[in-house]
Amino acid sequence: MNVEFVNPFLSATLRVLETMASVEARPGKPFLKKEGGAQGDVSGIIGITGPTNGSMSLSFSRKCILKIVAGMLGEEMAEITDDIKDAVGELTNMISGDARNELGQKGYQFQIALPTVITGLNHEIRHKCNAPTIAIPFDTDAGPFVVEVSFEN
Amino acid sequence: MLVDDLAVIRNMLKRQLIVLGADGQIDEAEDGLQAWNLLQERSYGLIIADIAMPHIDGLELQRRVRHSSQHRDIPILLISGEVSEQTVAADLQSKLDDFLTKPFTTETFEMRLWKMLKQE
Repeated sequence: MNVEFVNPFLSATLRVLETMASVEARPGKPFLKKEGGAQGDVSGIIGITGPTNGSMSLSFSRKCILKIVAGMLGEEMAEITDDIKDAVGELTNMISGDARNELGQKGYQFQIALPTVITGLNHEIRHKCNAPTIAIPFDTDAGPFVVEVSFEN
Repeated sequence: MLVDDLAVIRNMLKRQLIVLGADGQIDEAEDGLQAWNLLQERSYGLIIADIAMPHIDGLELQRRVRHSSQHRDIPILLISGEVSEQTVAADLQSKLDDFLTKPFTTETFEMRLWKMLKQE
């Protein structure tokens, strides 16, 4: 996988959370993901096509996504409702769209599909291709989340 | 009027409008069709609409409003997270009131609104 494709997703994640939710996220060290299980309580995944095909996912811990959506709406959130799931879909959309624009500026024209949101303990994220998955862990004051990017070689 | 198929986004935009001092009635519609139906009953000082929506999308809603003798002067701010401003401008080759790509800060949102309302 072209590592040049990973950084735009990292910077898009920081930008979207800062501007839409006033949440500061701190990226950790990316690692190669070996198993399918998600590392959060609610996840969004989106397919990406273009010079190569792949997908991106976001997996939030419960506490983290409640804080992020509270930041978007300006009101406290207590549980994972349909609004929270919609917000995860929209964040997945915005982050992939923002990364897509950055990749476009580098000469890589990608299209993005519609996001899917998954919830439940230990749910599985299936990326659109069998290529290696790069996971980027993030930390926030309200808990962790993980961004995964997977593209065919 | 706020037009978006996601309640969470309508709530977020509503909050931003209130923070910016909006003091009138803010109606909500889930898609362009619902928005168009509301426009048959009353007029609005401003429409903020997502582009990607079921039934009637933001671009079609804008086209209908512009072709309506009653509503053609309503400022419309189109919002999307999926396409860049350049893409829309190039594709449409037409007059866009204004267009905003998500994510945007409250400051950017405010600047666009002021610019649009000042033009009126």
